[in-house]
Amino acid sequence: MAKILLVEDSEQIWDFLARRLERRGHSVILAHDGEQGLENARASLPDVILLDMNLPVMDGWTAARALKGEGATRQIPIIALTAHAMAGDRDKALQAGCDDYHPKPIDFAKLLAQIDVVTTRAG
Amino acid sequence: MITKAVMSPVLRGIVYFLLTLSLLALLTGLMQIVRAQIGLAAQNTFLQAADRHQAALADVETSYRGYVITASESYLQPYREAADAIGSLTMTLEQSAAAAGIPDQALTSIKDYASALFGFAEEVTTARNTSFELAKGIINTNRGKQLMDGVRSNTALMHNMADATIARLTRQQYSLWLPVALAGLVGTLMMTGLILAMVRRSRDASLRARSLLTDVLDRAPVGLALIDQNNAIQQQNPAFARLMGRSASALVGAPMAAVVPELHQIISPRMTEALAFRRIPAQGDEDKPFEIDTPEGTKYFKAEVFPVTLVDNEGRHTAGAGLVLSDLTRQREGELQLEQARDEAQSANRAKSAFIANMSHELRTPLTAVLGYCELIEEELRDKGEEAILSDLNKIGVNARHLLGLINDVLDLSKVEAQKMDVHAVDFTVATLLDEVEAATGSLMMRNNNRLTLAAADRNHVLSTDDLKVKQILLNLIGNAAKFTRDGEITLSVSHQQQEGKALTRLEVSDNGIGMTAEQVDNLFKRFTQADETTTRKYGGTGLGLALTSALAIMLGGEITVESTPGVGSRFVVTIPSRYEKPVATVAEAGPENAPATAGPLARSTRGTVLVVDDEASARDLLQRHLSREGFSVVTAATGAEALDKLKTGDPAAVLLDVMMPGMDGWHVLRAIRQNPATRTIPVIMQTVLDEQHFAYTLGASGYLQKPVKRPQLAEALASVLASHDGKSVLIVDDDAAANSRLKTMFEKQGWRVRLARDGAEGLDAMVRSRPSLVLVDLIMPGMNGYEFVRQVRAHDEWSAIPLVVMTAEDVKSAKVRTLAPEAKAIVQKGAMSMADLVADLRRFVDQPPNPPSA
Repeated sequence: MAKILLVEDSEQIWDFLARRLERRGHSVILAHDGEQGLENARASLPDVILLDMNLPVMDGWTAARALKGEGATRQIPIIALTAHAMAGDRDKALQAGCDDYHPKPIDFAKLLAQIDVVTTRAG
Repeated sequence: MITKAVMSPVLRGIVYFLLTLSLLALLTGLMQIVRAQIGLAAQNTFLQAADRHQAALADVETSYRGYVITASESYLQPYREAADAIGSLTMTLEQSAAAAGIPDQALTSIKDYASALFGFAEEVTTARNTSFELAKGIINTNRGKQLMDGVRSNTALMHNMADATIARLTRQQYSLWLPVALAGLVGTLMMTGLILAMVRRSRDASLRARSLLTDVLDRAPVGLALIDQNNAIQQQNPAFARLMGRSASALVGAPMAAVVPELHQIISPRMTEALAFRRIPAQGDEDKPFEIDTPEGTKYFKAEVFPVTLVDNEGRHTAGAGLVLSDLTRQREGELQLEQARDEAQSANRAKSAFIANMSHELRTPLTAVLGYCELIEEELRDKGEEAILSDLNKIGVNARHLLGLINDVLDLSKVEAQKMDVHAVDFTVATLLDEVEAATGSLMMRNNNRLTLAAADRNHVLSTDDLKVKQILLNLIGNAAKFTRDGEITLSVSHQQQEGKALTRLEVSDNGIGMTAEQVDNLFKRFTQADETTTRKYGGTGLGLALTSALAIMLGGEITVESTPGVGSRFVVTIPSRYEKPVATVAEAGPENAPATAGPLARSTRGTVLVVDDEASARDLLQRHLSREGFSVVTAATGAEALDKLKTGDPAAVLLDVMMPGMDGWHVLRAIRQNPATRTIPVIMQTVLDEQHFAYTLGASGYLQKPVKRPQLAEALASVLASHDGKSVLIVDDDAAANSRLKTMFEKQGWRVRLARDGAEGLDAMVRSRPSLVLVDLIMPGMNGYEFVRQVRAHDEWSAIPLVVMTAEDVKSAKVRTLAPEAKAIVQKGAMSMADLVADLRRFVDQPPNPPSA
């Protein structure tokens, strides 16, 4: 099972998402803004990062670029979580260095599958 | 008063006829009178001739008698003179008699008497020379007296004849005078009348023309003025004075510069042209509306100037200029109001779009939580076996999803309406589309126990349009069908057809559900309208789905139709072009974002700025227009020096560089751009008249266009250089972290995207994840080394086009390193050149894919 860093500022979302992921046997580390996300990623080197794009302090786009720009974290796959299901967001997320993209609201089954794919590919 | 109405054509005909008649009568009468006068003169001449003839003969008689008595020669003198003259007198008498129409017999007998008298006189004279008695005896015969009486009686006879003729002619003359005088009088009167009428008519016409002209001038809503050679106002209409806020009397005769200086300043170049060259001034900037401060406030005018010919008081023609001044103030105010209204509407529209985007975010976040917790609890309850609560919880979940669908539909529809939704055309096959639709509708079908049948005429047919929107359309239609069908069959069939030379794809979704009445069908695509309200209660739904579906179909250039029979089923047919083509934007649709051509170089553009360098203004202008249409902002430079100057401050996405320029030519500019580290990565497209493609690429050009530049070639060249520029990415495979980080900075400075790998294995991984446009690889590394990495990369056919550059601290001439020569684009000695130069040099491997490398 994977070590997941969930970077999400909305308390309820990180709460239920973390609990549901943990129910599936994943271990979840939390961060509530982009900067904290970066720190936690460096510190704990998770298998995958679920990165909300709308974050305080440092937004997800910047965080993704920073993560992908550092030797230590650059290998960690990132799945972008975006609120707007717009066609352009997908490309934007991938351009920022994200490995995959998941529009909110969360389709849990699909998210699990995506986590599975990126962790298998990276590992 | 003779007016046009009285002088009807018939009457005019009669007048002319009578006038002709009276003139004819006058002429005839006068001719008759003249003829009578000639006749009278002939009679008088004859009478005089006859009298002189008779007098001569009487002299003869007296003469010979005197001689007989006196025998003095002197008495014979008259006789001799008469004998001399009688010839001519007789001839005159004959001629005048002929002219006077005297019968010949009378004349003959008179001539006979005359010659007989001369004979008798001769006889008497001769006899007297013998003796008085002898002569006396002859005289006493009385023959002489008889002869003379004969002369007298004949002369008297002819006198009578002439007198009779004279009397007749005189009478005739008198009888003619009255009609002639009458005819003359009538004719004269008529002539006078006619002339008066004509004069009056021409005066009326000129009066009417004058009053019309005055009326037009007075009432014209534009200011009109005639200006003479001295730039003085010769004449103007009231509107002109009113527009200028001056009194009419102040303007006439005054120099423009003195009375209307502001206007004069603006129009004087054109005035000069009109006055001096007698031509309408060419269209120019001066034709544009201008503003003038008048006593009534600031006004907007448009002035037009044209040459006219003026006539002065002495009738001399001189050159002048006409000036038409139109007041555009109200129009301008209207335009300003419109502009303001448009700006307001646009900002309101933007606010609306932002609001909707925001709202959708704000609404979705709590919904995400609701759904998330719902599903979380569902899972936990299921684990604990609390099935009773599960169904209630399920209802919360269903409603939350419904609410989410509603929000999505509102958002999408708003985006369509705000024209914020773009079409992203991609190539995909029918098979892909059908697979995705099938996967997405599985649970939907199960809900009402329906079966989905997919049919495709050609599963390998490739569509080039927005796949997401097509999918959304199909999911909406299938979802709709599934909602209104129970235990039935829903069919999606895809076919293709040609119509007016365009390839169309027909997507048909049919069901055997409840169907709709004609009235229900009519309301189908309207917002928030379902077939009817009871449907909503029974089947749910937002009523937005079909309106959105229809809007999406229209966006893709297609349309949607529906056939339905209540109780039998419905069939929706969407027809869209197989290849999406961007609609040509009409002027009305072109908002500020779509029309960068009208805005300055600082205007927002989607594709970046292009620096156009050309010494010809017309060429710059044309390129600027082309580029604006392609969505670029444009900065121009007229010389090489100006171009380099502009490059110092700006960072254009590309430079379009002309070769033939005075001073610094394009090649020099190109070299300067390439030599400056700050500008060397900027793509430069050369444009030349000659074919100098090879030269251009050798000097470092990124693209090449032959003049005259056509828009499609320009667009293609730019797209190509920008794509290679934007897509430049390098993968650096090296274990030296410090060197990597420095190289990375260097590459990034020049616009590359950089990824790093610490060894060959990592490098291969990175290549799998994303294909770089260039790979820079070290040879000595822990784990998989460079030799192995190169072999592995070259073992993959799909990577064969990616240039590999080997950099090594080993001797590049060593046999081992040389083994890589066939695989590597270049082998670089570490430390042999500066990193900046290396990075700049490597550009050529990705910037000129069609050209063989020169190194």
